[in-house]
Amino acid sequence: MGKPDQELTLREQPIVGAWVVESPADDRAFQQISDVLAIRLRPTRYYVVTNSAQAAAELPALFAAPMVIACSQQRTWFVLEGPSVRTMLDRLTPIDLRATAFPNGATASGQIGQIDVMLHARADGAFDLFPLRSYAEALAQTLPGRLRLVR
Amino acid sequence: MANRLPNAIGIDTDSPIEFSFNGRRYTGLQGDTLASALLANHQRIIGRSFKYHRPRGILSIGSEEPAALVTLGTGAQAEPNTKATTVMLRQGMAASSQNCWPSPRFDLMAINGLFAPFFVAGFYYKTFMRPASAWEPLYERVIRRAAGLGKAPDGPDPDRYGQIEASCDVLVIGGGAAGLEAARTAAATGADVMVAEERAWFGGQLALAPALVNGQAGQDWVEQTVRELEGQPNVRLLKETAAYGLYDDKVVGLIETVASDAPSGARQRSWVVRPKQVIFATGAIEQPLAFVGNDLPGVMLAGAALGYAFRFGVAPGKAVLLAGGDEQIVQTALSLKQLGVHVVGVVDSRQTPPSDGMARLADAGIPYHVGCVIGRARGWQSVAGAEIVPLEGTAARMNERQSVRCDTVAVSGGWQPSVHLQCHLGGRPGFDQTHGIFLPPELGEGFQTVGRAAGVINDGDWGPVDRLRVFPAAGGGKRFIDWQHDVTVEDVELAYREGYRSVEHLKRYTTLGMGTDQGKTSNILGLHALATVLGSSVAEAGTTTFRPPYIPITFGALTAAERDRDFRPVRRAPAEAAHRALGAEMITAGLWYRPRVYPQPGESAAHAVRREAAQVRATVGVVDVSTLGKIALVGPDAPEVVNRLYANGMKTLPPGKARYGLMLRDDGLIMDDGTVARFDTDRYLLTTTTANAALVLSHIEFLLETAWVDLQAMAISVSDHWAAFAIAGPQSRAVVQALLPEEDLSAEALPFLGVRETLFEGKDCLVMRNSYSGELAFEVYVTADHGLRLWEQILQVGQAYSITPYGTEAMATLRIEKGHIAGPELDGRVTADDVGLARMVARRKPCVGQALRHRPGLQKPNRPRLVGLLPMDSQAPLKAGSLLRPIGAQEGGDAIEGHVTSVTFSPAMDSMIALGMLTRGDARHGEIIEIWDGLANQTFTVKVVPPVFVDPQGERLHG
Repeated sequence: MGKPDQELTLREQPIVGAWVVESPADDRAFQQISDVLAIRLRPTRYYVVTNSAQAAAELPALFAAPMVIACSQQRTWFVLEGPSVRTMLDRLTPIDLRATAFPNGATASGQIGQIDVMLHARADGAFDLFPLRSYAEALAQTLPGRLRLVR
Repeated sequence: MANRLPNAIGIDTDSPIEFSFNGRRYTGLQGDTLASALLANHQRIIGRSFKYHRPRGILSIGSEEPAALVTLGTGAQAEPNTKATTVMLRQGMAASSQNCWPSPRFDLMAINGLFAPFFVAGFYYKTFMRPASAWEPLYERVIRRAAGLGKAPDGPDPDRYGQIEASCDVLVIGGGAAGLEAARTAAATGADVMVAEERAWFGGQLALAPALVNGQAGQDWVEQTVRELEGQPNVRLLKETAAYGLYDDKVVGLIETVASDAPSGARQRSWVVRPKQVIFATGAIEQPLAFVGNDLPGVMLAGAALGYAFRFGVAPGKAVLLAGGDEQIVQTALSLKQLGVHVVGVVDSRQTPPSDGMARLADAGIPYHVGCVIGRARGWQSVAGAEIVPLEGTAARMNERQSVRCDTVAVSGGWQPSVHLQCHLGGRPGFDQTHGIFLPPELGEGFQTVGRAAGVINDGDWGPVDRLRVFPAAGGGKRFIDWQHDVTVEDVELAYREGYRSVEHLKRYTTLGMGTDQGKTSNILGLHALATVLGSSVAEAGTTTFRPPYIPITFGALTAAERDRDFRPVRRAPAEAAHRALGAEMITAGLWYRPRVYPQPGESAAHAVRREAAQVRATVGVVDVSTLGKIALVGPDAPEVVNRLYANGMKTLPPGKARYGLMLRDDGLIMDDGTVARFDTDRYLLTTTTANAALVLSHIEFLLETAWVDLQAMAISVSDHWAAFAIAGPQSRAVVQALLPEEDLSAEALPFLGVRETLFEGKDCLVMRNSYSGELAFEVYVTADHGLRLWEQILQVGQAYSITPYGTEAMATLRIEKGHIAGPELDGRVTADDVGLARMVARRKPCVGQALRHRPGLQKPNRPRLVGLLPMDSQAPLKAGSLLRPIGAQEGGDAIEGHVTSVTFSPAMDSMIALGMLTRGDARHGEIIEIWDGLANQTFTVKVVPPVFVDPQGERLHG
């Protein structure tokens, strides 16, 4: 994908399956499946995404119909990584991404420039970015320049 | 550089810097500002004033500077109205004077000074009135040429700007002693601290005057504290970063000047900071004095004079006279002397100053003029001397005046805490009667003001409350209050005589404080002058409103990266590349790029549109409708949600069928239209217009979360998930059948508005029999990753049926021919009745908009109704937006009865046609009226007809 900054790298991760599901508090079996990222959108609503074919095959059975919508092509999955990724990304969005306010595992919806993005802080220190699919190319093209300007 | 003094703390004498001023080359030193470098090179006349073109020098040492304005750089990178006192000298810097020609020393426009009696405050309210006809051709042109200070660059700005979002626990604004100490205290608690200092160095006053902090030299204390803070991971120190605004929710705007060799490549960056706490350590601003000739170059604030000597090693002049009315002026004189400046005297307006000051000055050999004021500064283009006049009360004893030779008059009217930022939220400063200063308003939790900005002064006091600031006019002459806008004490008196007595009127009538310095050195003087004529106190005179920005900021820094494609990111549909490969002309629809038309080689766009539309009606065409809004709605209560959302009945919609849906707003007017496809008892797909996709989703989410919380349903956008193509025309079924050979797509198996889920090459696929064109048509949806493939396959299999791709223009032609409404008709002002869809609306069904659609205003008989318009001249160049009126009506006004909403050339009719909204239009079919295009001054005669021009019985729809 490219190096948006001398130290940061943006790469695309394929989405094999993605769903928005409503799930009651005591029924989150899908969070136990490996290679699955569940981003909490609302108290009982999750965006569940995986790049694993096996997980994609197992997950639908764990969702409580009818409150599930398949949307694997709605968003693009980017991973932004590098030693200063949190600091740099914090400079690009109004969301407070300092570790004290946005620990690993935290998610938020925000904007990078004019593009809406869902953000997730990964356990490995990188960030998942989920723009709408139609904006993915624009984000990938404009992100390097924006990062450079805030160095 | 004869003006250099030894032992300066802020410059590197081993690092010279070459720069130019008005085309001449000079040398400064690393650490200089442009102002200090100019002073070091004996450049005292920097530019000319706004109105009278009087020579202007350097008054201050910071962003409060009203006079030393220059243009930096040249060409498209020129930055006008830059304060020489705030710009760090850089190698190769090119600066030039403003508002003068040919030079600041000799300016032809100084002739304005001869007409000064006519150019008093508010002169433009009394002049240039007659003859009125001369205003546009003469007066305005002359005034525009003469007005303004700097000249804006005339090319696109090639520089880059950035914007940084930041959060912190504590933001300290000001890096002086109080700010640094506050930062250190906050950092020690583990808080995440940011310090923003507008200058290129920390220390505030400690960096501009000798002082001790706990027995340690001030500058040493600053360096030690800064080192300590820099070593802490939870502290961010920002130099050359000024706070320009305080906004709601404690948001603070900063503007950072970036070093030219910084990795970002940006020239400036704005910061939007969201701190939990804000500490204002903004210090205080020294105030000048008003006396005759006080605007001459060489008159300077005393603190500035000391700062140039102490920090930059620049003697403010060869012979410096000081004037003030407190202990600080005495100390300043002694400090200047110690630094090597020749001080010729101190003029103190106090009648009985403390005796130890007298003694110290005497020891230093500095004449001390007690109970005196400056009557006049003398000189032609800069100070050459001054008249010292003793006071009796507040009156000047002119017959006892004494002349002193000097080239610099360093003045101090005391200090005023800098309260601007704290007032940006609408509060006003309060007047401290004890100290004679304005203090910031109380802002509540999370805000604190420290140091001088809070009225706390550790090294002295604020001076006498009743100090004299406006000296008597000795022998006539102007006493300037506002150096930039040429506002004088006499202007304040004039404004008073003419009835402008409130401080707000004074400001606007005289333009006092309205320049780029925003009155930092003029407002206090102006208030004192106003209080004098009003016979009231300064507190009673009041202050004007403080608004951001605190200092001028470039538009570039505000827009930052939001330019070009960063500001308007392109939104790409799955098959966009294919459209471009076919030579489509693309248009932007919102942020999407859509194919407008596919002209063939040598074909005009207009001809291509007609060809495409005709081909659809003749055989088959395909259009990319992927940009349509698509909303997935699921849940046990999804049927109820759908029924409440749409005005037409939805409860009877069975799975496997779709229905055209009309969505109303709360007020009964149409919000949007689309289709509702039901796939299961609890699963729907809603489509919306491209433009309203986000609006409709927000509408649904709002209702589910507020008004319908008891309904169990979920709605999300799937607009990007599905690519969609409409295949329309008599051969459309054949094409879709070839695409999906396993599917039974007969009229019986898939009737009109039937929907089906299937697979296309193993990918999820939806097929809907729907028609926007009025032809037999199918919408085929596939997941976006397969959209391009589907498009290519449609064209591939469609070749056998002479398929043509068609764009948005042909799509519009087809729907206008059929009288189908779209955005131009759904302009937020129409009801279902207005556009002929009254029959669709269920009369008694509870739904959004049902209650208010019956209100009398929407039932009036003369409401505009949708009509078709057929011109008598089939080639008439009709335009959407034109107005409708009876034949022979004159112009507009009451004659106007409606407007044209959509226009196209109809291949089917071989004529221009239009849709419009016409008063009582549905009762006026057959009537002949006019279309009036007031802008082009054209009229066209048209016949009012039903809005459906082609196949009014709808037979083609069923193939």
